[in-house]
Amino acid sequence: MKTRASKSLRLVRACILGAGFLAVVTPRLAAQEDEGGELPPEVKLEIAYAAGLQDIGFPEFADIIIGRAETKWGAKYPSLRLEVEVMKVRGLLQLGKFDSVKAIIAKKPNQKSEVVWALKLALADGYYAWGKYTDAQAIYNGFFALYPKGPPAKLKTFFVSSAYKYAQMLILMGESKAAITAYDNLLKAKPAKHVRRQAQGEMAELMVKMCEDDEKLSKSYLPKIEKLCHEILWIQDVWFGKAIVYLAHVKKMGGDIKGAKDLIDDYRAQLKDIDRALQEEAAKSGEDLTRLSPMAECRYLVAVMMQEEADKLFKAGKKTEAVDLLVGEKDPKTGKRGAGAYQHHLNVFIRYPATKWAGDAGRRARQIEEFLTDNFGATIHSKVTREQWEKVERFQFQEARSLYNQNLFKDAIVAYITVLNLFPERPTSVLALGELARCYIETKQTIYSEMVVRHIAERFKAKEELMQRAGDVLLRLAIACGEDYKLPELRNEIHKLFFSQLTKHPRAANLLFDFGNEAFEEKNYPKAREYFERVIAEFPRSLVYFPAHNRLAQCYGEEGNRTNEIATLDAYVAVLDEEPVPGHAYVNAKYRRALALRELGGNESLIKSAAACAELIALVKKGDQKYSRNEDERKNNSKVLEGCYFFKALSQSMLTEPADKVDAFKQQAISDFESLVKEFPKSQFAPVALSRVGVLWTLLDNPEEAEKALRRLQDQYPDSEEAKNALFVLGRSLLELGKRKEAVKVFKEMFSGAGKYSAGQILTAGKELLKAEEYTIALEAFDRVLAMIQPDDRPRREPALLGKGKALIELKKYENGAKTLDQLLNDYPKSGLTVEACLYLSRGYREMAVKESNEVARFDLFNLAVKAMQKVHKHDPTPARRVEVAVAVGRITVLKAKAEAEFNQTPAGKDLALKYKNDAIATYQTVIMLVDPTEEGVGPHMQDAYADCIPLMLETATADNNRYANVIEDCDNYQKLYPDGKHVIDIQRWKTRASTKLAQLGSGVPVTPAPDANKPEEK
Amino acid sequence: MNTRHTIAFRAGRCCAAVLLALLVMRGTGAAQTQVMGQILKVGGVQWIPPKPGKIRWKGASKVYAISDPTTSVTLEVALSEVARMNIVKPAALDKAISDVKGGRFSSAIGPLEAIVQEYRMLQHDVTAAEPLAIAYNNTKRYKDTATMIKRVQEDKPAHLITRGMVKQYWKSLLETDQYGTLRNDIDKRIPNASRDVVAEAQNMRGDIDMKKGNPKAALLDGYLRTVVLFRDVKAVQPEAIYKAMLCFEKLGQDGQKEKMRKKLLAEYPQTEYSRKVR
Repeated sequence: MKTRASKSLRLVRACILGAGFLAVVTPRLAAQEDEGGELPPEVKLEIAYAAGLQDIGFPEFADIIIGRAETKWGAKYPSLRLEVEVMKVRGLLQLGKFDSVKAIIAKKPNQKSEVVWALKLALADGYYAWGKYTDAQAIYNGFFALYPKGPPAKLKTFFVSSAYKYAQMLILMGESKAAITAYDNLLKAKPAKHVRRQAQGEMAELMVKMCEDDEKLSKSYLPKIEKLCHEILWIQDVWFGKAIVYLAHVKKMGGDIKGAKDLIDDYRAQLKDIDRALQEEAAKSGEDLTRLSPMAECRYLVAVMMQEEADKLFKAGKKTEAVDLLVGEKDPKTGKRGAGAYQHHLNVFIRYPATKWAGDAGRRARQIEEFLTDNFGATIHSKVTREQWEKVERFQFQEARSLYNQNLFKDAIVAYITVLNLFPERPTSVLALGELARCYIETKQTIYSEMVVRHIAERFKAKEELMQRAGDVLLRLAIACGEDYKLPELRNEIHKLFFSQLTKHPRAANLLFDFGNEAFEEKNYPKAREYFERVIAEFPRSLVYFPAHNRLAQCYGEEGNRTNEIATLDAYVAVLDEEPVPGHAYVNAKYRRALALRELGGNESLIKSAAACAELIALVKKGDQKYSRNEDERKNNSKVLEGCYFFKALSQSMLTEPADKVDAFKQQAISDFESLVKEFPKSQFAPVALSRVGVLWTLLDNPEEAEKALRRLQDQYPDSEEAKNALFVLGRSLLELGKRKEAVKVFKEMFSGAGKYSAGQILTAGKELLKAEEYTIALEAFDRVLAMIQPDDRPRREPALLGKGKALIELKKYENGAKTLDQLLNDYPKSGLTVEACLYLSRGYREMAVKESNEVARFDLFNLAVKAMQKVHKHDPTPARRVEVAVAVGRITVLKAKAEAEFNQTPAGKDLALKYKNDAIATYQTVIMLVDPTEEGVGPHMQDAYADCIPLMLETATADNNRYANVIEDCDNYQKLYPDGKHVIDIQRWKTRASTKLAQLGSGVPVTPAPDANKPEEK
Repeated sequence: MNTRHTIAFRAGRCCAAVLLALLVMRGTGAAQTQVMGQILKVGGVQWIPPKPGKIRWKGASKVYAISDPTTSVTLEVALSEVARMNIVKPAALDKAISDVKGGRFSSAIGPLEAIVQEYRMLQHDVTAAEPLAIAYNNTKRYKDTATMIKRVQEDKPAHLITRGMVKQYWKSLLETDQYGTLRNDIDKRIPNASRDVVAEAQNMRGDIDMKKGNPKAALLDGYLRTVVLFRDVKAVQPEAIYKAMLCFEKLGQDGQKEKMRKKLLAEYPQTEYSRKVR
């Protein structure tokens, strides 16, 4: 055998490229396969160039090259046309345009022609590239069945290329046996020598793997492997080395360990030659080619065999023999040991760090070291150094990362898992885990990606040196999940993990704060509080510790929870107080606390608020630099001072106890307001303060002073809102102070038509009064507006009519109200206020109807009420509105039934009442059954629909109409949809009642009685 | 090979002599805290002392006092510096272990308890802990398992705690329905324990989640992690793969289920779990 292998090593660059050739650039086989081709080299080069451009994603440039080649050589070389056509089709396939390609093929006149098959093979290759294996397989199978003895010359290049790709695809699909057949097909085409050697080598490798997985295959495959290897051994290149390895595997599988070792020893010289050539080539090219070394694999294989054998011997009690295998036999003369498994492993580990065996070799060397020290007390002087481990680690991770960078995610996953199990907890491992998670995301294996991120968070959280890196990896991944992968759920999960596990990460506090701010911006205050509270509880040394207090208090403020707002501000003030120079933040926190106290309401809180303001005025006036570190802070403190004056006075003005001091408080408030205006005439509070002074003098029954104050307001601050609306403001202030009588007087004056106030101002006043439920005065305002404006002044008339109608309805003047609203809807049929108007209009007609004793008139009024509601839905067709309208109509119909029962106590009347109830049930059931309960805003109305409908069903249920069962079904649905719903207690009670009834009727279903099942019906 | 690797190898014959010496020492009723052995320091290449010497654990200062029999010099090695120990095996250990394997639990318990006590912090407390826990668990002395394991773990760095020992501890908690304690113990160990303990912990956590009827959590925080990221801990792989397969089945992911089944058959064909899925 050795003689056959030429010693003149033909290991040149082309050979190395050839080794990786099929695997890397298979689609281009046609361009390089020279046997049987008729194109000259320069033409082939152009085609290869175009193919390369297609490969790297420049199909448009490839088209230019193809076009040029066609123009230049098309006439001279007819076979070029086929190449060009295939290339064009490949361009389309790269873009996934399978249908276009199929159309091109379908147009060909002869579907059995070689051209068609060449195009079909290209299509199959396209399917393969896009992972559509079944489609690809159908074409490949059809083609290879057509040429069982090999292809015609014209199709040879396509045949070889496709056969190879088909084999690769079958390996990917786990159909190894079929892959062997595909390789056989390839060989039948008599490909170029280097292609044949690669196919033979890969075939042998595949068969070795198959035999290792399934011993039963050995009998048929081992001789085949040997035959292939012996053919390969005729030429000395990288495949030569691999053939030695496969042959050694064959011997090992046959149980001939010694034979395997001897074989490798026999070929040691040639393997070394290959090794040397690879190193020389590596030196020239700068690329590390030691990873292709067959020597590394051979030594690894031998070492593993020896280690396994040693293990068996040790267990059998043959300790000396085991040791000899592990560390080599002792030379009786020198006493030195030869090469054992340990030395082989170390050799592979240290000299071939880029090979896939290096990592495992290192691990096994360590295993042997431990075995020897533990069992024999051996001292191993030569250990693997840290640097050596790091080198191997670097190479191994590089290999995986290179696959990841090429977007070969499936291959990258395999590589990462291998290397991560060798180097599981190194700094590089954490980054690699992040990339592994991305590979899983890319390959849509979300459960795996989630598993990896959870591992990163949990396993590295307590490892100081890796925790920060783990956190960074997770945060980057979270960003990618949000922005690139569009996986918001996974992003949220990662953030959750980050915040729960990696609390010591330097960015944790800031991120929590940012997330809190985001939630705050979205007005999700409970969520925002969670984040801010965590910052306060867990990160007292962080920069966001103080701002988190501030924000937390703001959250409570926005939620109207003054008690907690004050408590938070107290805590904030306390922590700021511990700071040597807390700055404006301290003043601001105290100011906000004072305001929150005022908001709390009640005499006591107002006193406290005024006192807090007074205290703050004293503090700021001192001008202590501790609280104003720079000019900006000084200005801000000055603003606070203005506010303190104002709110102190305001609080005092609102005090109601002790009664005998109320006037004195008001006097004091006037004095404070005046001080504010005097000290800070340009303050935003100054006009308000003057306005308030006017109000207070009015209350103190001093109209002269009041008028003076309002005049000053109009003179000194003519452009202020207070000045423009002095009376309105006065009236509103009086309302706020509970002085309704005085307020009415002021408003009457405002609406008296003295000419000072425009229709717009009065309209605004009317709206405000409506909001304050001051319907009578509001009505006056709207009447005044309608009297002041022209009939075509729609911007004012339309809201004035609505306001008037609403005020009338609220004042129970239904007929006039309905008339006004009807007028609005008639005059402005497309009014934007239609929905609001109709809701009130329906109410008006409904209320009129229930009191109407005339059957016909009553019927009409109810109909008008329903019509108005239907109009609501017409103008707002959202599902939520639909359900709301249905509930309203249902209720109108129930009222109709009640009115019928009340006014028509004949049997016919009773029947009619029952009919109306059934109509109402039908209305409710329509939405219960037809509207999606998950639609936005539907929930509250849908719950009402259930709660209105079920008692009606119970009321109208009989032994024959199945309504008890329907009630149970609806109750079940409600409980499922709204487990915490607002009617949940009633629902359980109704369900129990229906079940009991059913049981009494003999077809009941057992249910758990509600705790208050016997409670009387409320509805 | 570039580097010359010289291996100073000493055959195990000398061990017999040392063992004899130990037997003599124990026979004379020597104090439990002093045994014969060696220590390998973190990053060190040579055992200390080169030949087994007397070793004593000083609990108060958390150091080992080692006297070199050839020089009579006594050294102190801090617990944090210890990578491995090579303490001469107590005579009764093998017999006791064999008794446990043979199901003769009551005869094994006494000697194992003595070893655990006498060899506290001297390697064989850990060696004896697993069989002793097995014996306790098999005689329903779950409380004793928990107490004993807690005691053995005290002061021990994570890398000296073994998977088997911890597994028995968890088993005792499981048997006494202490799910909360069990879950806490598992969660606490995972960030710090050695990889084989972590792999076992993940499997156990998977079991708890499965019991709760949550196969997805069992995969995410349990079996799947072990299958993918703890392949180096081969002892727990078949169980993890098998149980991951069951989880995928429960989740209706037949493709993944089949993948796990094939993996189990291909990589661990001889295990009980493989037999279950054939």
